[in-house]
Amino acid sequence: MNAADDNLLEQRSPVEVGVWIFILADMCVFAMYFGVFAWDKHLHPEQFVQGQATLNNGFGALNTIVLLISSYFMASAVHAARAQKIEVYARLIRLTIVCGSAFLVVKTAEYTEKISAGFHIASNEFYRNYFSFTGFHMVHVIVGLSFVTYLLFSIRTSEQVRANASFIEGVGLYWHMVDLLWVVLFSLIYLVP
Amino acid sequence: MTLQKDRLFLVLTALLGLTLVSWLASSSLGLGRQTLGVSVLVLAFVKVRLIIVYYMEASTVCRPIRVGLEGWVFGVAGATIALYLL
Repeated sequence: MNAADDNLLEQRSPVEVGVWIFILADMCVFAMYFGVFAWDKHLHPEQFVQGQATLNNGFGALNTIVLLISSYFMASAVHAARAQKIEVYARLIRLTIVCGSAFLVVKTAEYTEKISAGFHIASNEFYRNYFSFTGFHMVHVIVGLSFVTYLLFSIRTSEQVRANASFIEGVGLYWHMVDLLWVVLFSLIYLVP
Repeated sequence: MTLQKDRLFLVLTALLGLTLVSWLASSSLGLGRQTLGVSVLVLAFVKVRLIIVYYMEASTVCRPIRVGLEGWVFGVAGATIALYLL
């Protein structure tokens, strides 16, 4: 990290603080979902055991890997932007978009597989939780991906990066939130017996 | 920048490693149901904290938000594990 990098880290703008508050609020909404899922699992253990057995862990694991890698690219892109390495920044933003799009493709394939097998949101308590929580998360991925795509096409020059430093940092934070929420959803829905 | 990049890559490696451990553990028959469930949840929240600390750089934000983030990690982890163990 250079001096400019340190300076940016120390001086968080009010915009960024607002983003943090929004992110914490969104994380609290998902915290309630985690609680609802665990509680429903307690109330309907058989439905959850049977439902979980129908899931394809490979899809969930693949999406986790893809989002973790995308978060690495996004964090690196923010550092490249701070260091004014515009070409590196643009390349990393493109890679983040590729990973985010891959997540959506895998999720669509998974939903298609489930719907083809006759499962839907009203099938039982497990599938109500599964479709609503992963669906709400997918909306967050789409919103995040839209912001990241906006970065690629609208913030291209050194001047634009400097002028929109807070926005870039805010988009980065949002993308990391999308990643960490999926980490919990993956464990809770796919892995925890 | 290089030092920072190395650290980010190290964190990614740790995150992917923990994901692999969770995934393999979930298909293992050697652990009891509750032990396995709690282990997987603890690993998930360790990953969440790594993302918050190293990717979101939580140490650089103001104290109330930092406290809120730490409170979220430990509070949600505790509540989720407690509900799971009911």
